[in-house]
Parts: sequence; structure tokens; C-alpha cells
Amino acid sequence: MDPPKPPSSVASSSGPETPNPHAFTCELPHSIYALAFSPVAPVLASGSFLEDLHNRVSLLSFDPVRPSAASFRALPALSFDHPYPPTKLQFNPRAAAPSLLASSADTLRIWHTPLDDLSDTAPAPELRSVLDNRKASSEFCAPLTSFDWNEVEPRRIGTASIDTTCTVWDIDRGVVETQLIAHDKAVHDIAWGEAGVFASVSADGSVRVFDLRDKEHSTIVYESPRPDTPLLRLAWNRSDLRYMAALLMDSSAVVVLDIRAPGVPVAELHRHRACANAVAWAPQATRHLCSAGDDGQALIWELPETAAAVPAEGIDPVLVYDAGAEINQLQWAAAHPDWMAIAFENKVQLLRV
Amino acid sequence: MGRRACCAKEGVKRGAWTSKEDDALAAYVKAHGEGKWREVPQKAGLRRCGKSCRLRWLNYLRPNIRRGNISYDEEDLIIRLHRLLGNRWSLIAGRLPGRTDNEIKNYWNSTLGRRAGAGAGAGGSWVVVAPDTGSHATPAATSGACETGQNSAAHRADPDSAGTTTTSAAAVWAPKAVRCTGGLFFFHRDTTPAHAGETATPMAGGGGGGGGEAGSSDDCSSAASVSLRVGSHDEPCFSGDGDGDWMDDVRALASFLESDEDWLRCQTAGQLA
Repeated sequence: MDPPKPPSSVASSSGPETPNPHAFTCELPHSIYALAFSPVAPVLASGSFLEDLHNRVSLLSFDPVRPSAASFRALPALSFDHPYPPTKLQFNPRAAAPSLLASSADTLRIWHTPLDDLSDTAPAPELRSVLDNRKASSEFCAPLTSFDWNEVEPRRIGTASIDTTCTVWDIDRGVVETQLIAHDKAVHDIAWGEAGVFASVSADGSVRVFDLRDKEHSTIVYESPRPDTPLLRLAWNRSDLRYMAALLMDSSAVVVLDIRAPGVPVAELHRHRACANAVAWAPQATRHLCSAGDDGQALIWELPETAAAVPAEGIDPVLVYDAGAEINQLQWAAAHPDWMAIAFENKVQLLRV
Repeated sequence: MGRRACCAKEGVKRGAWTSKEDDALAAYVKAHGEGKWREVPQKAGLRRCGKSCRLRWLNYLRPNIRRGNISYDEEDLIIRLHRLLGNRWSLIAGRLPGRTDNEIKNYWNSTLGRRAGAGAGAGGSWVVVAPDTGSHATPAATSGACETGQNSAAHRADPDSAGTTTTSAAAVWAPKAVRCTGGLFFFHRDTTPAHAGETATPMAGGGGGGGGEAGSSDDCSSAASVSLRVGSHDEPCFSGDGDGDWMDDVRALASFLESDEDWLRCQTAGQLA
């Protein structure tokens, strides 16, 4: 992958008369949190963040070849109502399969969202299945904080819940394959590494790795330095499975872990000036990642070849983008590695890297 | 003629244990280890049933046991785990360091159960409803060899409740968390196998650090919690060369505390690479 092209220097000062040629904005009528790129179509799913039962998932189309402000727009026919704000959205990673979109909230839902027809007369997405693991006698549910769709074994989705469990679903049969009490407190994020291996982060401050072939054990690969500091987000580098990145609550640092050297981070990236909210690895490069936070900045980092090459004064980002408001979400498109999306306020922004 | 009595009825004391009896029992177990409870009263000079000695030790006298003063966080965790696991007290207690299944059960029945029920049930009364299907077919969840004893105790204590409130979905696993620190493995890496064997024993026996380790009994957590900052942190514990080897490293880390031989095998493989 070529080094990312720098955004225009007018990015932070551009007005409506001088639009940034590498950034495209779509405004929606509500706050936005969850984002997901489709692996097959130039479509981006966004979930609203309203503290209400009635929320909405909007599908946005963009042109990755000849982008323009007009081509980045919402598709009203393909948007649908969603109960509660979705905590995560993700499309089926297998391109050949029917286009399914999964969402997590009070429970896990699978939506059939055909993306062959993006016109105004397209058929509406329909709810295909609700995966609910409540006991029959209970009227409570344990909300899901996140989930991850296994790319190697796409019938598996792992969900993270505030009831301290991670649940592995077989979505073809609609049943629980495995449920693990993963942590001592709420589980905030989950990420697959291999077909049967996933990692999770928790309010108990630990990153743990689980192997479905050995359900009796899990491995703690990191614990936050201050006791009881929750970990919020986890990203597993799919191009180099030795590396993970994690975010701590109320911290501006991005912690990069090497699972071969557990306990001590390879690097801590300290250039955000406010809390870091989102982190993502580059889809086709092994040592690039992007983080975004409350300082309104999206930073792209390049890690050194070895941990020994980390300078004492810390790593500087190779690219900086200033959105002008707190960035809540960040996604780096696997199908179009030149593009990433950020969400702030009621805007979704498409950035060319 | 029914079940055989665990001990003769004459000459056996009942009721509250005195501090002298506690001291005698603790000293005996410290000297001779747990087990063979039937013989313990006679050898320790106690006029108690062996069963009573075992229960006294497990629920009150064992090292690192904490009784009373259940914190708000612990309450919250008990409520959530009970909702998830039902009355499987040994599994719930396994997630609370220093707590026993007996204490969790008593605390739930005397305090939390009524409080949680008031919020959940109609008219303020809490009714336990068994799942319609699947309760008999579902196997009991296991949580590792270290909790087998507690599991048996819990099932004996509440056989009916355990059966009626199992989850209707797949069994719930409670993996034992193994803390891995680079220093621990660097330490072993730098020593000869014989030396590693010598130093492993006092580390395991030394205990310590169990408070922060959830999901493990005290016997296992003492080993898991040992943390040594030896060697450079820049070096990985295992060789990272070759595709697909990295996950073997993680599995080796997880199984290291179960068997030193796995560690030595991986070390040898690493050296050959």
C-alpha cells in the first residue's frame, strides 16, 4: 500500500466555498454513533444515537472512483427504524453471501439489506432474525456493547455484553454456539483473530484472549496500569495478528499490544489532546492505524518495525485531520482502503487517505 | 436401612465452634493438608464429625477467605451472575475472590433475593419460574478442575434449585483467566530446566496476589499471580517467526501454569527455530 496521501492543508480552514477535495460530508437529522462499510458495494451504514427507543439506521452511498459532494448521500429507500441506538453495525464480511447487516443493541439483529439496487425504488431492508439469549423466565435483557463478525468463519458472530459474558452465535442456525463468562465486569468490545480465537476488553481493565478449543482458560494479555480503569475499545490487526490496539476510559492514549510480549504495551500513542474514542487498523497494511477522539482529530500512525525502535519521546502521527468537533466513530473501509469514515455530531464524513 | 451415618452419634459435639477448635483444625490442616476428613477429628483431637471439620475449613478457616462486608460491586456482580447462572453458587462464588459458595447462597437467600425479587415480580413477590424446555437436557457448566469440589458442594446443597434454573441455551463456560507477564516467561527462559524446577515450587507455595485474580481458586491464583520483572521487555516470550505460530504461543501461555512440560517443549521448539 502506498503511503497515505496527505489531506489538503486547507482542510481545517476550508469554508463552503473551498471544499476539501479529500473530505465529503453527509448530514443526517440525528446524532450518529455506529458506522459500517459494506464489503461489496460503495455503501456506508450509519446508526443514530438518540436516547430513545426509536432510532434509525441510514444507508449512505458514495462513489469511490469519482467522489463528489453530491454522490455522498443518504438512501431513503434503504433506511429503516431500529429499536435503541445500535452499539455496532457490521455487514457480512463474505462478499458472495446475501447482503446482511448485523446490529447490536438490546439484542443482536440480522437485517437483509440488498445492495444491488440503490435507486429510490429499491426494496426496503427487512429484519431477518433476532438473536436473543434471554432465559425464558426473565423479562430483563443484558444490553450488548459490541459484536464482531468472524471473517474466517462468517457463520460466527461474537457479542459482548454488560453481563460479563461473550456469546458466540451460529447465525445460520440462529443458536448460541458458546457463551463464556469472559470478565469480572461489563465487556465493552470484542474482536476475532482467527476462526476460533477472539479477544475482549472490559470494565475490569483487562484484555483477554479466548480460544474456543480450550474453553477452560483465557489469557490476560494486558491490564490497565491504574486499577479499575475500564478498557473501552479493542481492534485486532487482521493483517498482522500479533498486534492489537486498545483504548482506556478517559484517556488520550492508544495502547498498542504485542500478544507475544504480554503485559507491557509495545507503544502508547500520546498525541491526542482529549479522550480517544475510536481506533482502527489499516485494512491492507500491517503497521498503520488510525485513531480519533474528543479533540476532533483523526490521526494516522505508522508503527516502527520493532518495539525497540519506539523513540523515548513517543511516536508522532504521519497524518492529521481536524474535523472541528468530537469524533465518536471511525471505520476504515476494507473494500476501499483509500477511504475511511468518521462520525461526529450529526455528520458522517468520508475521508480519502 | 438408608444412608450410613457419617459418624457415631455419641460423643460428638454440635453447635458453634470455639476458637480452640478452630486453632486445632487449622493447625492440623496446615500440617497435613486437606483430605481424609473422616480421620481428621481423631487425629486432631476434635470431638466433631469429619464432615463438620471439612465444612468448617472450607467455609471459614481456609486462607484468603473473606466473610461479611459484601461490597456494592460484589452485590451487583452477584445479582447479574445469578440472573445468568441461576442458583449455581459455586460458579458465582468463583467470580468473587475470597468468597465461598455457602456465603453467596446465604447472602442471596437472606438479602439479595428478596430485594431483587421486589423489583422484578408483579405485586412485589418474587416467583422462580423454571424454563419450559431444555432444563433437563442442559449439561451443568464446568468451570475448571479447581472448582470441582465447590461444584459438588453446591449441587449437594441445592440439588432441586440447580436443576430447575439452568439456562435453556448452550452451557455457559467460565474460563479461568491466566495472567501472563513478559517477565515471568523471560525468567524461565533464562534458566536451565533443573533450576526452573527448583524455583517453581517456592513460587507456587508462596501464594500472594490472589486478591486481584478473579475466576480462580486460591490454589491456582497464587501461581497465576506471580509476576517477575526479569529480562528485557522488548524481547517476545516466544519466537514470532513463521506464519500461524503466534496462536500456538498464546495457547502455550495459557497452558503453562497447568504443566511445566508444555513450557519446556515450547522453549525447545523456540530454540530450534
